[in-house]
Amino acid sequence: MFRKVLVAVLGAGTEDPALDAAGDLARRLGSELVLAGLVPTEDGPSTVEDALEAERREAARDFLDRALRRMREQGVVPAAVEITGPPAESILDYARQQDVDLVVLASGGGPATAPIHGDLAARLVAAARVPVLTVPRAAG
Amino acid sequence: MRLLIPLDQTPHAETVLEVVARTILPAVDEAHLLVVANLEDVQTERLVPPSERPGRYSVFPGIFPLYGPMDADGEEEGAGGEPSPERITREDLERNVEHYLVDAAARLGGGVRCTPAVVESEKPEQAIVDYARQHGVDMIAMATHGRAGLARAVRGSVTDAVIRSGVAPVLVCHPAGDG
Repeated sequence: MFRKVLVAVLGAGTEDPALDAAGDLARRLGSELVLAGLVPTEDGPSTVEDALEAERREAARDFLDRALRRMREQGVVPAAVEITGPPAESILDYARQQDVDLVVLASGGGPATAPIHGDLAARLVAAARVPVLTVPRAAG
Repeated sequence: MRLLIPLDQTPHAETVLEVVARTILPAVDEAHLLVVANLEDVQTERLVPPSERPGRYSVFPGIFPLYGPMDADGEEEGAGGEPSPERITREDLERNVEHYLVDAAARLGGGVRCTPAVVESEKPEQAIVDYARQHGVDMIAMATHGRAGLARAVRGSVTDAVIRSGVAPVLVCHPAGDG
């Protein structure tokens, strides 16, 4: 069973299909849901927060807040965490440490997230030991 | 939820069945078990492995190995036995696939409706995407080699192509005990 499902939040609402997919799955399976806001850095957690990172952190918190509200409206009460670092590695580290059974994230094009996250889904899928659910942004 | 599981008789496909069975099965109403085959290729070029050949993971000629060649500890197709020169027929393929899909459905356990399917195509990724679209599939479960750090095990793979098609969410499963 997927007892603990982690969603990498790459958008706040309708632009992040991973939220609905994960919420639906968690409801059906009775899983615990954790929303992870991502503050991407290229070289691991930095000691000095530069302006860019502060901006990213703010954006991540905004996404996370709105994603939480959206899930609660749907009757799901997720936990929330903030993950700072190289996105793929940091998500997988967290998943290992916290016994996450499934990682869910959006895949495919998205102008809003592409500059920051690149093809995060492909990198996660390549490196993960835990099952990964990729949810396409645009309907196929 | 309608789940599509493309299968190819390799241990990787086995992994997908195991992961599905112990994770999302309660959320699945119907499981489509799909084999992509290319009989043209078989009739002209490929050979039947000896029936007494050991190992249950030999991929029947004509079935597309979706997950590429085996890892070092797996068995390369055609290895470990002298191929016999017999040609196989469509009936041979259908009988083999039928047995395989019945076995695969049993691995998922009771309680889920299984729909077996065989599609003939030269392009497995396109066949999977087309099937998913035609049957209104809600999710596709697939495997990767997924060896740590080897992005190329995913990039360019059938699984990668299905993810990129955007046809449906893809549940990517990694071989157990692999890395």
